[in-house]
Order: sequence, then structure tokens, then C-alpha cells
Amino acid sequence: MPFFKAALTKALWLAPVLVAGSNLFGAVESTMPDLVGTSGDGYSVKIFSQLSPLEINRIHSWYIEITGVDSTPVSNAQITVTGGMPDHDHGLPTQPQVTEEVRDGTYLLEGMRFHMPGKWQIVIDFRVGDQVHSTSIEFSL
Amino acid sequence: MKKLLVIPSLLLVAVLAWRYVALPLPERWSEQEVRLIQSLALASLPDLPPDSSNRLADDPAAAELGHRLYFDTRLSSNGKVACASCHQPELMFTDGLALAMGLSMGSRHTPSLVGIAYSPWFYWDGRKDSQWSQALAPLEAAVEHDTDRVAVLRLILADQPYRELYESLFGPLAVPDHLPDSASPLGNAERVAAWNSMETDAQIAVSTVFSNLGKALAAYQRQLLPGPARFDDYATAIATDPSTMHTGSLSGAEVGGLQLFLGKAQCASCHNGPLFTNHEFHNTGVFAIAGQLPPMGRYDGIRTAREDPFNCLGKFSDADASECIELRFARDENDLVGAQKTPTLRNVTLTAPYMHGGQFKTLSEVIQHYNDAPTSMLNHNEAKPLGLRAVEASQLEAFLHTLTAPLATDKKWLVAPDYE
Repeated sequence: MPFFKAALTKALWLAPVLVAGSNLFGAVESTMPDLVGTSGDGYSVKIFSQLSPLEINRIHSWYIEITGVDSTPVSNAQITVTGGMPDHDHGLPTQPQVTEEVRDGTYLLEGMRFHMPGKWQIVIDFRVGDQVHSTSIEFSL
Repeated sequence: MKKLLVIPSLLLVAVLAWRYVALPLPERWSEQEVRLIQSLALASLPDLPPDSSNRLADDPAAAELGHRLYFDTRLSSNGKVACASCHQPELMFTDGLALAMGLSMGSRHTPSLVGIAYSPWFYWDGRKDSQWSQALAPLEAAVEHDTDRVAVLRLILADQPYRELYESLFGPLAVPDHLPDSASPLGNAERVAAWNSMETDAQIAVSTVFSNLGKALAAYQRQLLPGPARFDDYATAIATDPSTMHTGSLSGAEVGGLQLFLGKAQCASCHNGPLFTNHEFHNTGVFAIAGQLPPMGRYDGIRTAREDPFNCLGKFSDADASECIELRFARDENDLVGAQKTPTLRNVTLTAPYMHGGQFKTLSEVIQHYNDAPTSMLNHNEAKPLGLRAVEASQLEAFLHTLTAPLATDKKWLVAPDYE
């Protein structure tokens, strides 16, 4: 029963993704990502948060959409997300991980949480083939 | 000669004024401050999230069983210790002691249970990931209740009201054959030996009953919620008229303290949200408890939680693995060495002494500690010296006293139940 409930929740959650293109998390009225970044070599990273606008103290998931310099989706990337508060000398309170690629170039990141108001920095490293790309995104909560 | 005294006198007046005279407050809060104040108000507290690992978390009959268990001293080897012995309703579910006193003195200060159902982690080091799992540990701790899961099962079997309530919630009590009087994998050598003599199926049956009783205790403790305090009245007032800083529901000193809480004193960095806690773990350089080594804190706590058979991913949990988000994505890195959980500041007037070992008797001492931000005995202190003047420290303390109020909990839950 818990499995069924979880599967149903997930299906409902992903349905808008599958039917509405980039309108992730059911944000039908807007395709605006919550955060954006660009790697030094021109790869684009867009973050669509389950919790929008972002807020503190709630664990949630993100979709990370990666496109190359020619705007094509980047599949099979190995992604690592780290981050923290530079002014407080500490990292994220959780260890978020990409758990699946839900469609070409779009990845589900689970376990994201922020626990303090202030300036945050998120670093997204992604390996494509034998190349490693990186982007750092700063924002305030 | 008189002229010679003028300059030192003026200097003395200036120094005293700097330490003890409050700066005038601005006419209005900034937009960001208004947002922060609203985020701290009880009106911003969402409904209690469901606990997917406890299918009876919000069942009234489970809360009733938990209520009885909570106040029952028969759940101890000497018949004198109940959960309520240390988590006392009249002290906001704390005990007023530096270190908890069950059968003997424990190693940590008793935290308040008010609003703690909102936390994903339990104990100062977060070694438990659910309220029901937490509730089990003190029962088998030698310095607390010093009983064991088989002895508890025998009590439920022998007590007709307990047995009926239990079976109405969880179905017929599955009692293994050849049950020893007392056994546990965690107790003294005798209990462990008795436990090891049991078949695996019998062990699982006993632990299932034990975990069910924890779930009932959690259902009761989920009733313990904070009520609106003077600060919340103030937040409501400025929500309707955000330009007004001085509405009368807080004194000038208290408003000054609130401004410091949000700004210069940086309290809201960790004591944030309507429960004044981010439910996270921080190393703030608190000295080790006398006679103990500095604790490893959350670094060890998360490792213990992962190995706990009663965790969200274990066989006694009602959750699907996909629902155990906090446990699956918990961080465990070196900067968590020495980190302790941020406690709520709700009702802080009644929950002295403070910190994980009750190291500070008064709020004034706590504020002085953060003002100094001493070097941590283990790892590094995340906090930095604040440079608060004496008058600012007293304003901050005045504000902290605006957070105490009667609970938003039916009074029947705050006293021992009537067993009739």
C-alpha cells in the first residue's frame, strides 16, 4: 500500500512533465526556471524546483535540464550537486543526488533542502563522455 | 584640578553610554524584516506533516494508548520512571535539570517535546529519524527506564485495558512461545543472552509489538504543539500595518531585541521558521559536558540512524523506501563533527538550563556564549563573535521571553490519564 501510494504520488508528479514539455512540476502558466547557470564552455543548466519559489526548511526535489551550446539536450550526464553558504563556512544540510534521467537532458535531483536564510551557492558538476563541465549558481533565500 | 577631571569623566560617561544606552529604533521595519518576522510567526506554521513511517501517527485511539504509556511508571525496572518523569508537562516537557535523571543520571539535557513532531530528526545528535523510533530508546536505556521490549510486552499482555486498546489498533497480540521474562538486544549481558536464545521469528514478533508501542507514544506526542505567544500577537499586528514598529504588544526593549535577533545577533540564521529552529545540526563551540569528552554530535548521529533497525527504511517502518527522503539523502561529512541539533526557542523561558548538556543556567549566559563565539573543542565553531553591547544582550534576552505561552494542546493531554 505505501508503495502504491508512493508510485501514485510520483506518477501524478511526473505527469505534467511528460505532457507539458518543459512545464515541469505542473507550472503550466510559466516555463521560467527557478535558477539558471552556464558552464565555462557554454553548456546551459536550468533548475525547475518542486518548491517554487524556493524556501527554507523543506526537503524537496529539482529537475535539472542541461543543454549543449547548440541547445540540444545533454543525455547520460553524470551529475554531482554540492553547495553551501560561503558566508557561514558550511555546506548543504543534505546530500542531494540525481536519481534518474526522466527524459533526454532532464534529470531528477532528490533530497534538496536549505536551512538558513541568506546567500547560497550551488555547484553543479556534470561529466559528459570524458569531459567535465561545471557551473556555480548564487542566490539568496 | 577640576579641569583635569573633565576629560576622564566625559570618557567614562561615553563608555558607560556605549555599553548601556540603547540606540533609538527606526520608525519602521524594512520589507525584508517584515517578511522574516512573518516567517517566524505561528500563523506560518503549516499543518503537521504526516509521518509515513507510522500509519497510526494521527489516530486518536493510538494517541490515547500513547498517553497512557507516556505517564506509566510501570515502564521501568524500578517502577518509578515514566516518559513524563523527564519530559514534564509543567516545564514544557523538560525537567529543569542540566542532565536528565532517570534511574540514574544520563549524559544529555532533556529537550522539550513541544512541536518536535515537525522535526525530521530526534536526539541532540539526530540518531533517530522518527518520533516513534525515538520513543523506544529511553525505555531500554540503563540510565533512563532500564526496562526491555519483552518486559514491556508482558505488561501489555497482563494489563487488560492496555491489551484491549493495543489489539483494537494493531490486531491480536502475537506472543511467541517460550518467551523469557526479560530480553533485549540492547540491554545488559543477561538480557542480551536471553534475546540471543530466542528464535528470529520470535525476536521480530517482540520488536514489532515494541515498535507499535513507540508509534502510539508518537501519536500522543504529536498532540504537543506550541500556542501563540506575545511575539505572535506582535507579528499579527505588523502584518496588518507593516509600517508600525511600535504597536504596544511588545516593549521597546523587546522590539530592539527582535531587531537584533533578525540582524546583528544572527540568531535567525538557525533559529528560523515558526518553531524557531531549522531542525538542523550546528557546531557552535559549546564546551564539553563536565566529565565527558567533546561529543562527535551529528557525525556519529547520522551513522547510528542509518544502522538503526527501527529507522524509516527498516522492517518495522510503515513507509515505502521512496518516502524516506531525509534518511536517504542525509549528509554525513566531517564538518558535522561536534554539531548538535538546533533546539526550538518556543517557551524558552520555561526550559532552562540550556544546550545539549545544560551547560548554561540562564539565557543571559547563552547570549554571552554566542557573543564570545569561543573556539570549538572539536572541529570549528560556525558562529562568529557578535560584538553585542551589554544593553543589546539584555534587549535580546527580553525578546526571547516573548516566545512563551500556554500550549495549543487539549488540557487532557497535559496530565496523567484517568485509567477508569
